[in-house]
Amino acid sequence: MRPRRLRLLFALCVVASLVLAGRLAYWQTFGRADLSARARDQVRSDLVVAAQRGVIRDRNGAILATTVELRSLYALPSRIPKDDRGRVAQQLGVLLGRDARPIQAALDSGAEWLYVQRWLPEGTANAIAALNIPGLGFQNEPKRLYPNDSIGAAVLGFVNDNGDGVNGVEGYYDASLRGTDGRLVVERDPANRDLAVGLREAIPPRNGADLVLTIDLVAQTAAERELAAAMKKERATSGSILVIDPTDGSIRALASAPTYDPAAVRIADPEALRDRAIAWPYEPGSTMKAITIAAALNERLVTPSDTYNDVGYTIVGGRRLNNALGKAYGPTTVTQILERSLNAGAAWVGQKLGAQRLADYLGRFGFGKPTGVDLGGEVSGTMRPLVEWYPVDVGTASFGQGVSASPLQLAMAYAAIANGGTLFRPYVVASRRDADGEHRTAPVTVSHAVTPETAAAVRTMLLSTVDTGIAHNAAIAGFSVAGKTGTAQIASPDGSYVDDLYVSSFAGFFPVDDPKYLVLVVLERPDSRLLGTVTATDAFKGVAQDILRYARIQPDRRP
Amino acid sequence: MRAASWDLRIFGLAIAAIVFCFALALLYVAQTTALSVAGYDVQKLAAQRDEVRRQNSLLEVQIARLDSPARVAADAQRLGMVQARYVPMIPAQPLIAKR
Repeated sequence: MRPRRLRLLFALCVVASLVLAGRLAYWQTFGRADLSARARDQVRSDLVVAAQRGVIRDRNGAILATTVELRSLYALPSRIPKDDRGRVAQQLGVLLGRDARPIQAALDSGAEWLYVQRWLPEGTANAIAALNIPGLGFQNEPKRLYPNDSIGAAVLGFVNDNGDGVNGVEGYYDASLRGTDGRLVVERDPANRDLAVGLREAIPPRNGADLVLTIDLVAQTAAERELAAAMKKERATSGSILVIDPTDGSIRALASAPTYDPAAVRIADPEALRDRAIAWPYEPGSTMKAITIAAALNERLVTPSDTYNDVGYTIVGGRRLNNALGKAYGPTTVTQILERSLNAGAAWVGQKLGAQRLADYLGRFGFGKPTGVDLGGEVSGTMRPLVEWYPVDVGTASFGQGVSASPLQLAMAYAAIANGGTLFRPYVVASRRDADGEHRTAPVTVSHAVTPETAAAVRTMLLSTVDTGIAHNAAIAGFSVAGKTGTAQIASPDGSYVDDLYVSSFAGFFPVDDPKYLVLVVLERPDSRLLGTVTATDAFKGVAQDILRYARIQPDRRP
Repeated sequence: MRAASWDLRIFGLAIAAIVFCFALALLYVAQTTALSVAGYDVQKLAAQRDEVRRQNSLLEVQIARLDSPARVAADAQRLGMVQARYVPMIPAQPLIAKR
């Protein structure tokens, strides 16, 4: 070889070496960070560690809602031989209780990865795992479970597919219940196992708070049972039962119909998602008479024994307001206004009060503004501003027309009468337990509606209404019960009333000397029209008798 | 003679240093391996713990389902039992007063 060629070869080698050296120097200096990141990404795993949603329990610790990781079945269709897919679909169809054809269609769809079914019951998942079919696998996924099915659905609300709480406690306390997700950054080996000696950065999740409700599962079950029976008997369009502890405003049971299973909201009737107890303003009708009379007693305008001459109607603002069925009773006491549920009598008392004072007392009893209950979706009833009242309104409002209220608003007003005159803010969460400890809810006083003496007088009048009056069907042997029936007309959008359709209700509490429970039953459009209150009082008795037995309340009367 | 002895000593020291470094490296590798193996064991145990916790949660849900008053009532009804509409109760106070 000539020296010139050798020199050329040498020069080429030098140039090649320089290029390689330059490239190497580049990757070792400027490109180093990029290369390192790409290498790290191959082994690094950055995961969101989901916070566990808090558990909801009743006042005795029974689980009402909890989140559990259930196994979801997925498939990698390419790993299932084509000839076997029909057989696999058949086997899965039998175990999942589904038609095999859609499963096979999914396996043949060409998808790389797909869910066959999410959130399997444990037994089904075990049975499928035992088949050991290649190409099928399980992935744990959190699922909100409600062990009592539809019991308490209106109180609890539900969690949608995005993990957001909707309605009820789930909606109102969503931020507390959901907690804060954590983060875990680790290096993994080719088998996807964490490397103990590698990078590890962890921000632990902050689990959601556990809630203990004021709800008593036994009372709740009784309320749901009686409401369902009343709805069925009366073929009512909707209804609600509330059980309240009048001493502090805590809600012991809240049932709403139609109802739904919070674990299967997709198939629920959208109308069922509306909690009738807090989001259904209706004109309360005759149950309002006790409030009107309480106001007049408190203002010392009447006494329980004061008398007026009942002619079957009264004229207010130039309009004639009749008793139900237009019946006249002659000389009638204020107590008998409640015992006989007289519209004319209530309007007479209302006129004594005057519009200003009546509106003021309705406000003191919580009408016209939301109760502030800690449940999502509350809709308050309405009370027109006083300046918009017509002269006749003082009469109609006295017996619960022209004023709307949710069942909860009415129940709280009656609770004020039961407890000596204090209007409490209703609540369903008794305590919240999070990482910082337990936080208990303290009862909140909204107003002192009437004096204890007035409340005691109205309690006696309502006791008489049950013992000898129109609500005698609500009497329970061995116990003193005070209460009032209500039959209200239904207002139509044009301002008139719907013909021959009513809302029937009964609000009662017991034992009268020291009321422990208040129960309100409301039924919309019962089949038996004006006699719907009989079914309402039957439902009241059903709930009350269960509670009396369960709470071991001593009889306060001879049976 | 003296120079040869000095060289031997240096040689011995170098060998000792190499052996020491090798032993140190071996110890490091052994410890790292042990740590990795322990890490895998920890992961397995953590997975077992999570599965036991999951099973425990499922059992709690099952207990809650079985304890549900609605389920108990339905089962009682299936057995032919009916809800008592009236349960007579004897007030305790008169009995206590008689004693």
